[in-house]
Amino acid sequence: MVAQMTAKPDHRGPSRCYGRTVPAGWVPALTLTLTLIAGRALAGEGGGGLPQLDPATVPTQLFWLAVSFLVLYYMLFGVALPRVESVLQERDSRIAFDVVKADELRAEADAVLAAAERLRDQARSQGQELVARTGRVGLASNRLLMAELDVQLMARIKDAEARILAAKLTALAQIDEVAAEAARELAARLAGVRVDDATMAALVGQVARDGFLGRVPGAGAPQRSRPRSAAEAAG
Amino acid sequence: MDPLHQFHIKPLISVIVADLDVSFSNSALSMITSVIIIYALMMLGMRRRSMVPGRWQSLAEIFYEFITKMVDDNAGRAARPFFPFIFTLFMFILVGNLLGMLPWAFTFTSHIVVTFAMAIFVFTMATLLALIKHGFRFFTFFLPHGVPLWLAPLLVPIEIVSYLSRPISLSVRLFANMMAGHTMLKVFAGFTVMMGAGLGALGYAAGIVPVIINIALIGFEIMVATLQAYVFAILTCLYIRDALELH
Repeated sequence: MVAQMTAKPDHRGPSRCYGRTVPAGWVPALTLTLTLIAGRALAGEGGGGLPQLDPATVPTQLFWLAVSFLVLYYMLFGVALPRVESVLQERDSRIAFDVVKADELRAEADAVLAAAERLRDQARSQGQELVARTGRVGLASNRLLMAELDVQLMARIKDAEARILAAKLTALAQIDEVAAEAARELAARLAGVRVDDATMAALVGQVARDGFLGRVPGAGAPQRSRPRSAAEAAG
Repeated sequence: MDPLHQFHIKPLISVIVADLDVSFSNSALSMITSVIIIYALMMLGMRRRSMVPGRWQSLAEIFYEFITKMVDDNAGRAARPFFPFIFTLFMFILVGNLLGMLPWAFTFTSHIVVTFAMAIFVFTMATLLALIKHGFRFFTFFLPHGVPLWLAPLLVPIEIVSYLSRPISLSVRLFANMMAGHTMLKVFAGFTVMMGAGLGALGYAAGIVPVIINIALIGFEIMVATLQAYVFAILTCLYIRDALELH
């Protein structure tokens, strides 16, 4: 009985489990014995003024105290307290279970979230790569386009230059003719000299070749520019 | 008009067992009523065994957890086997005290016989427990650790007397509180009646003063009723702890 009394209760529950270790059969036995002994001892004595000190009421009080206390003890010990205990334990285990489940669900949610974030990051980096690549391609194509354009432009510039050169040459070729015409007109107006076309052409050609003062001894270096020399010759 | 009249035990049903008059009295009626109230509270409260408790179930659970905590904190986990006993003790005294606050009700805890029987039971239980658990080492309890040996002749008698006076202080505390409180209520209530009888209409008008005092006293008495049940239970826990641990 003692071993049972002092046996360590198992500590499954958070704060309860007095359980099953106390048959406590000696509790009522002791109470009832004490009651009856005390009752017998006190029953014979004389009464006093205070109701509390009236020995005649001792047996009835002790008897009914023992009875009601024992009845209450066994009703609580046997029925009511285990019931409360079971409900509390049920609730505790339910809460523990729910907490575990909540933890699991949270872990799951975390995993899903992490996966989603990973996916998002992946998509973002993919997108960035795509944008970069597209940019590079665009740049390259731009360069290509520009080079092409350059080539085209260069071709056109060359073409234009060639045409300009050609026009220049044509213009230069015609200048002698114009100069001869002008010189003949001038000669006719100023000097009244009629110079036929062939002579005039020869003269202009000579001036163009040797400069206007080519024939004059001691004159400066012959003029490079034929149009000007022609004009001076005419002047 | 006698303020002590309320403490008279009146036999209701005559019962004689083994030549002893154990008549079913107003005191016994209060005790049995307390038992019924406590059992009903615990059983009806836990009737549905709800996962989410209602009001009554909460009350039952609060009592349960309150006493569990009290035993754990004051007597230690090793005192778990005494939980049902302390629970019964606390509830019995608490409901007995509170029941006595009702008009015409009898307060069985206002009798030294009842409180002393409970106290001597607690004392005997704790002492037997200590003797069984520790054998003769139990008697080292009366010589506290670290006390010089030459003080022993002085200290050991003091410790023994203090130990033996435990049931007396335990029982007298509860009994005296309950009796004094109820007497005081009756005395103040008696003032009103006396004033009315002695001074006529004026007396009845002035008689309102003791009534007002009594209202405050009833609140105070409800507190005392609760507190004394708590003190009794917690001291029981401490005695059990002493028995289990010997300091």
